[in-house]
Amino acid sequence: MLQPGERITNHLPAEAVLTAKHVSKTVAGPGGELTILDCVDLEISAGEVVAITGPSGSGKSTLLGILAGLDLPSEGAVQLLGHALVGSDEDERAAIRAGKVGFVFQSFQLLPSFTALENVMLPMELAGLPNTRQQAQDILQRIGLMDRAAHYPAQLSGGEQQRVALARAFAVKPRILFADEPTGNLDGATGARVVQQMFDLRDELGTTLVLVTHDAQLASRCDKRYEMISGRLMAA
Amino acid sequence: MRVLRFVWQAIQRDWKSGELGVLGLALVVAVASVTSVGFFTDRVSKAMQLQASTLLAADLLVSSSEPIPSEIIQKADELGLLTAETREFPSVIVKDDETQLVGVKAVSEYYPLRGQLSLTDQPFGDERPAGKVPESGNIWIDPRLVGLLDLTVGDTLQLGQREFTVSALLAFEPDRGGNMFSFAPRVMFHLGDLESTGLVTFASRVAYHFLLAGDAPQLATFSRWLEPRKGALNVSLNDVSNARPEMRVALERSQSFLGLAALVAVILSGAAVAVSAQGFSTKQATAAAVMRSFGASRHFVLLTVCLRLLVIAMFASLLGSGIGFLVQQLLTDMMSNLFVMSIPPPSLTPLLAGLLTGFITLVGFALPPVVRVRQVPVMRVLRDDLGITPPSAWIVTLAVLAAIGILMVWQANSFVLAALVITGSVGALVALGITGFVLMLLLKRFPGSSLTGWRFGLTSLVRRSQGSTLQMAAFGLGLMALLLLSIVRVDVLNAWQRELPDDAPNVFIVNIKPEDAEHVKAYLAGLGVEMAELYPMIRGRLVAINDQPVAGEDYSSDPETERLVSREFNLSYADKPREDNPVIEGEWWRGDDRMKSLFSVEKDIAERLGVGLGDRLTFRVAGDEVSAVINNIREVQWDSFRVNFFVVGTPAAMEAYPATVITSFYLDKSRQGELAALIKTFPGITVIDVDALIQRVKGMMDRAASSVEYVFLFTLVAGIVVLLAAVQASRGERVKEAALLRALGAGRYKILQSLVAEFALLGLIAGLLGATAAGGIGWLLSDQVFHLKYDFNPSLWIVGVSAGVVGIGIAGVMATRSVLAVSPLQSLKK
Repeated sequence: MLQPGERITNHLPAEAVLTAKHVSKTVAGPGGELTILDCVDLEISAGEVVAITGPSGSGKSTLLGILAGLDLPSEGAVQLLGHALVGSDEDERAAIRAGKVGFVFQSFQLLPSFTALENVMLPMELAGLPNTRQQAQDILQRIGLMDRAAHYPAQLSGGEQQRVALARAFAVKPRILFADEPTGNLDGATGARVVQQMFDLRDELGTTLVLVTHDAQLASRCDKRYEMISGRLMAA
Repeated sequence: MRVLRFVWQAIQRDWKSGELGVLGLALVVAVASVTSVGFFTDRVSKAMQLQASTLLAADLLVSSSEPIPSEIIQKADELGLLTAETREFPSVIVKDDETQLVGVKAVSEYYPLRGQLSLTDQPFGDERPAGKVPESGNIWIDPRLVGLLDLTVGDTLQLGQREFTVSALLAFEPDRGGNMFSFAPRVMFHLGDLESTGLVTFASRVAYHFLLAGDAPQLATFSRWLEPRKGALNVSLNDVSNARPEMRVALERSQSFLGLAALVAVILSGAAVAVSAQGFSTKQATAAAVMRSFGASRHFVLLTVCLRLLVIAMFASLLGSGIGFLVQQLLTDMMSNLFVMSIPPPSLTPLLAGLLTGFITLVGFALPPVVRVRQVPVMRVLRDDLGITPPSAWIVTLAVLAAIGILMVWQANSFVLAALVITGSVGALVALGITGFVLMLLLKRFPGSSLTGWRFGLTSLVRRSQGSTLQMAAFGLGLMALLLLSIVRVDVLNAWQRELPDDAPNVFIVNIKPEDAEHVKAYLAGLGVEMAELYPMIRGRLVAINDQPVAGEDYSSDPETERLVSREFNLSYADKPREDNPVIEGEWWRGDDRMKSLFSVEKDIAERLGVGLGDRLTFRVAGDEVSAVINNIREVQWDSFRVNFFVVGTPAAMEAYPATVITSFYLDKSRQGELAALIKTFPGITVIDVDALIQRVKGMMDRAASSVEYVFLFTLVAGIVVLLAAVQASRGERVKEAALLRALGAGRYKILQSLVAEFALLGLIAGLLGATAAGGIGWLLSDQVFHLKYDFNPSLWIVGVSAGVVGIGIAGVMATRSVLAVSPLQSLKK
């Protein structure tokens, strides 16, 4: 476990951890083809904190999914942590993410039959890391939720659930973390607390952050800001 | 290792959260029902087999026209089997210078090994079990000899060089089988006395029988050992399956009934597992997407889910087998007084069957929806609307059919039965699907549809059309099974029992001279026997088929046919067809055809001999050859106890040959003593009392019916559990919906109304379809499998619809009523 203030050793400044070139996404809709992403180019360096903002339905979440390798673009290329995502199959992309990529979702996506502790342990178990229980307890302690470790998601408040999700995302000490509207389901004060903890953990681990958000205050804390408008990405 | 650890942790979580509880419960019920039915039918079949083995007086019977080779006796001893010997031959007894042809049977100690001899002191008098064989110097005689030779208990008679004292009359002999009309009155004495009679010489026509009884494995070993040596040792081997045809039919039918009971349990189990698996796979979709977003491969996700199911199936199967064993023990205790002998312990096969059933049911019913977990779009973590795509209907259908097929063929041990039940189930499912679709269309046009109250309930069926159809299928199948059990079963069993009514003939009179026939008929009418039907009987040996000579050895691959061809057939002739002998191929002779030489042949013997319409059979009758062409094939109910013949000719073909007359009729036991006077008047006739045999067959049918009822009772419980499981599966969604309605201001009464309307309508449709399917399957089973006449019972639909509306209505409302007690906030938060 890293001590507060300690920097992560695999932090590689200036190195591009994520690049997207001419990424487009089209889907078949009832009225013909629908363009969701239109020739998006993006480069994110290690340790950067990037915000992608934009109105609902502008394609932010689709872009996030493609950048993380959860989906593939219709056209263009994406490189994540030095691996080309286009051309890899689902399992190869999953292997690229394992232990190196973290997620925080708007709807938390905690597994209802897992306790808070087990939810945090899950990505470490999947990455085959040792001492998962101890490490999960440490990180829950760190975010002040140790007393809730044995609780199931349904027994936690929304803020607590998102903090557990945050602990889960940082548990494997990911090189890059994708967050989709991390405060979207939370009130202002709770959202602020979650954001603060996310930045604290990020500072501690040197993780690259890619955030999709509506929250202007959150976006303002990021190194780079982009805005999605009708599938096009522009520097804000 | 990582996978196993992960799976083990997941199972612990499943256990704590009850995630797989419903599926596990469904499997436990499935396996428990199949194993309890399996254990129970295994034991009941064994008990019935044992009961039937009394007809051979043994479990196995080795017969020969020469002394039984010593190596056979040695082998039986080696295997620790119980043995006894009998020798039978025709001879003549002498009493006061009067002689009578008799069938002699010398028996060793321990005879009979199965069943019991009954004795009496006067014809038709009270019977008592013999308990042992005749003592040396004593002889037991057929009651018929009392009339024929004026013999009574205590008299002496001469047999060969030896004098015997009549110590009892022989009222019942379990293995009297064979052709009951062909043998002369029986006399029985101890085998030890045989030599002193001087009757058995080198040239004597003696039938040597070696009786064996014991445990199934030893008997099987013995059969396997003897089977290839039969020819060389010149012996034949019989077991219960080729004992008396009426008994064989009863045994086969009861096994089919029990098989059917197991099949219904299998279908119910499958439905329960399928419903639960659908819910499980939907719940796993999010977990699978989250795991994959964190880097798990599809293979890993699938493997962990499958292994979890497998472990659950293993535990559920073990638990189910345990419960099944306990339940069958209860059933057996309930049944034990129905069987004369104690019910044998079950074999372990049903346990293996239970475990395999759990596995096959899981693979067939649960795997298709569950393997879709690997196809969940990982983007679901960002977009909740991306769900699990349902598996292809073809794959589901094929998997389910394959699973049902394997289980059914295995459980029922009959392709026909399995095919019929599968056809019925598939037909019911297709009907359910089509009706569901039509209903949705109709409901969409429902005037003034409202969002609350009972109309909301009706329209919610449409809104959840996929789920509704699935539930309709589950409920329909459940109700179909329940109706099959409660109504069709009774109808089919009644139809079966009707075949052997209380007034089934219990007395046969044979050897009536044609000129005495009318007198005998008049005498019987005086006893209150109306319409005693008299049939001419001619004995003849089959010598050629299509002018090619035949002999018993030609059929050595089929012992029963070999036996039939080797001995004399009972032939008859008739001008008119009999109602109880329906012609199934060709036509009964009419007009000019009556003047031709034609034969009507019974269906089974035609199949055994490999003959059909147009083939020519030649019999040797009283030194002459009678040849005729087969004009029609008849079906005969051998278990009706009426006089029946394998071959019936036109009067033109057979009238010229010497015949005797035979009749059968029902005469109350209390009046049978009056037949003694008939024997005095017509000494040539032979009266055969088949009451004991008929009571045995009836007793066996009653026991089989009772055992089937008990087995079905268990399946009924399984059916109710399936109905509850199906309601349970959709409970979460309904609770949430009702909570939302309450939150929006709907009163408890309105919600209750909508739940009642939805479940009652679901029950109504399921009831209608279940009843129709049950009626169809009942008819198919009666007609095709049991060969019984089936009358459609209108109460099937009345009971089906009422049970559907009330049962599913109540079950559905009970399962979802918690929404009325829990605060909407709590329900919604979940």
